[in-house]
Amino acid sequence: MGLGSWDYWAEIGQGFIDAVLLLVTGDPETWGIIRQSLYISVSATVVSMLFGVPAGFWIAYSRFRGRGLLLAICNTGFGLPPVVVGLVLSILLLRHGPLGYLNLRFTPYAMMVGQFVLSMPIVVNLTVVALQQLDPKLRMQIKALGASRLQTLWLLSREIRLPLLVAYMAGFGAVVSEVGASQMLGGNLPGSTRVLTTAIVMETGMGHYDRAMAYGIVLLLLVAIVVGFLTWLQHGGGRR
Amino acid sequence: MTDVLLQASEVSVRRNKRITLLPIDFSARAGETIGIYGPNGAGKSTLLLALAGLLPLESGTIALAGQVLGRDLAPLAYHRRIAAVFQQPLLLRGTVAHNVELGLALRGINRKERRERALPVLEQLGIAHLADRSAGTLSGGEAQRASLARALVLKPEVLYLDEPFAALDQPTRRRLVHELAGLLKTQQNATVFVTHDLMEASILCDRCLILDAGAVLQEGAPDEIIRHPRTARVAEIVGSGHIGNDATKSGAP
Repeated sequence: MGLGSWDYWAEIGQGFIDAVLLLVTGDPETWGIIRQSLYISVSATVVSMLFGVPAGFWIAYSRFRGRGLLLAICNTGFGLPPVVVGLVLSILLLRHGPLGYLNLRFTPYAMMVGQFVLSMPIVVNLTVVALQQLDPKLRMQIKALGASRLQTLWLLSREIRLPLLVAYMAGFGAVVSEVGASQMLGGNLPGSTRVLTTAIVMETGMGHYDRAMAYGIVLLLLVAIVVGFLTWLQHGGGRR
Repeated sequence: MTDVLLQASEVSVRRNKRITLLPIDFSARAGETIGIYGPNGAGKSTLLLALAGLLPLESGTIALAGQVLGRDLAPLAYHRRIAAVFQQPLLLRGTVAHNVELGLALRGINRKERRERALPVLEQLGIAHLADRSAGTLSGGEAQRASLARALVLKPEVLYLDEPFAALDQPTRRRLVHELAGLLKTQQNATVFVTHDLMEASILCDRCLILDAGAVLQEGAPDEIIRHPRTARVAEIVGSGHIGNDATKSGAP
C-alpha cells in the first residue's frame, strides 16, 4: 500500500502533537513515569559505580588465579542479554526461591538489582581499561609519595575521572533504555515499576500512540544527551 | 664518619619469573650521593625500585636508620620518609603547586603550612612563577623541575632518582644536573641516583656502583672507577681503555 493513507499519517501526526502537549503541559502520569525511570536507573548505576570502580582497581592491580577469566566475564557482560538477567533474577526472587524472603519481586528495587547487574560489567570493564592506559610508574610514584591505599585509590580515580564519567554514562544509557529485565522484574505496575520502556511497550499494545511517542521522545532525548556527551568527551571537550 | 642511613643486605628481585637482581649489599650514609651506573637492562632501575620499597623482594632486607622495612617499619611509614623521582615527571592533574604540595597533603599537613614549605623549594628550582599553572601545560624541563620539587619539599631521608634527566634535551639536562648537585650538597639526606651517563654520575655522586646483568661489578668513586676499572667488562661499560685491548679503546667516538 506504499506510504499509507492520509488518515494513517494524520493519526501519527496527531499522536506526535499530543505527545509534545503531554510533555509541555506537565501531565502528571507522563512525568511520574519519567521520574520513576530516572530514579531507578540513576540509583542502579550509582550503586554499580560504588562497587564497580573498586572492583576495577582490584582486577587491574592484583595478580590472582582466574583474573583473566574474570576479565573475560566482564567483557561478556557488555553483551549480557537483559531478558536473561531478568529471567535468572526472577527465578531467584520467586516466593519460594533463595532470595524470595526479600519480597522484592515487582518492586522498583528488583528493577534496580537487575539494572545493577547489567551496568556493573560495563563499569568494571571501562575502569580496568582506563587504569591499564595510565603509565604503570604512576602508581609507584603515588605510593612513593607516601599515599595510603585509600589515598592511592582516590588519586588514581582523579586521574581517570573522565573515563569514569564515560563508564557511568555508558552504564546509564544501557539500563535506562533496557526493557526485558525491567518488565520481568518490575511488572510495569503504575506508579511504582512503570518506567519509560515498559510504558512504551504497554501503550503501543493498547494503541495509545500519543503516550507511547511521548515516552519515546523522552527516552531518545535521554540517550541523545548521553551519546552527545560521550562524543564531546571523545573529541577532547573535557580536557583541562 | 656518620652512621649508615640506608642499609640493604642480600637484596634480590625476581621479575617476570626470572631473577633480575642477584643478592646485592648496599649502604648509604647521610649526605652521601650514590650512583648506580650500567648498560641498559643491567638492573639499575630494578635495584632502585627494590630499595625504594616499590618492588617485592625475592630475598634480603632493607633498613632505614636501623629499622627493617616490613618488620620494624611498615611500607607506608617507610614511603613517608623517602621520595622518588622517575624518568618521566609523572605529575598528576592540577596545578604545579598542587603537585608539589601533594606529598605534604597526603601526610595531613594543612594548606597554610604546605604553602610555606613549598614556596622556597619552588624558588630554589626556579619554578615559583609556574605555581598556578596547570601541570599539563609545562615543558619537559619545567615538569621535571616540578617533579624534583615535589620530592625535595618532603625533606626525605633517602631520595631516589631514577634517570630523572634522561628524557630532557642536553642543555636543560646539563643545567639541571649542576643545579641538583648544588641542592644536594645542602641536604642531609642520602641520595641514590640511577644513570647511564657517566658525566652526570661524576658530577653528582660520591660513590658509584657499576651494575651489569643484575650484579655489582665494581664500587668506588666515579673517577677512581674510570681510571682503574677492575675488569675488562667494567672498562667496557665505563668506556675507559686501561683494561682490555688498549688499542681499540682510545675513547674517540
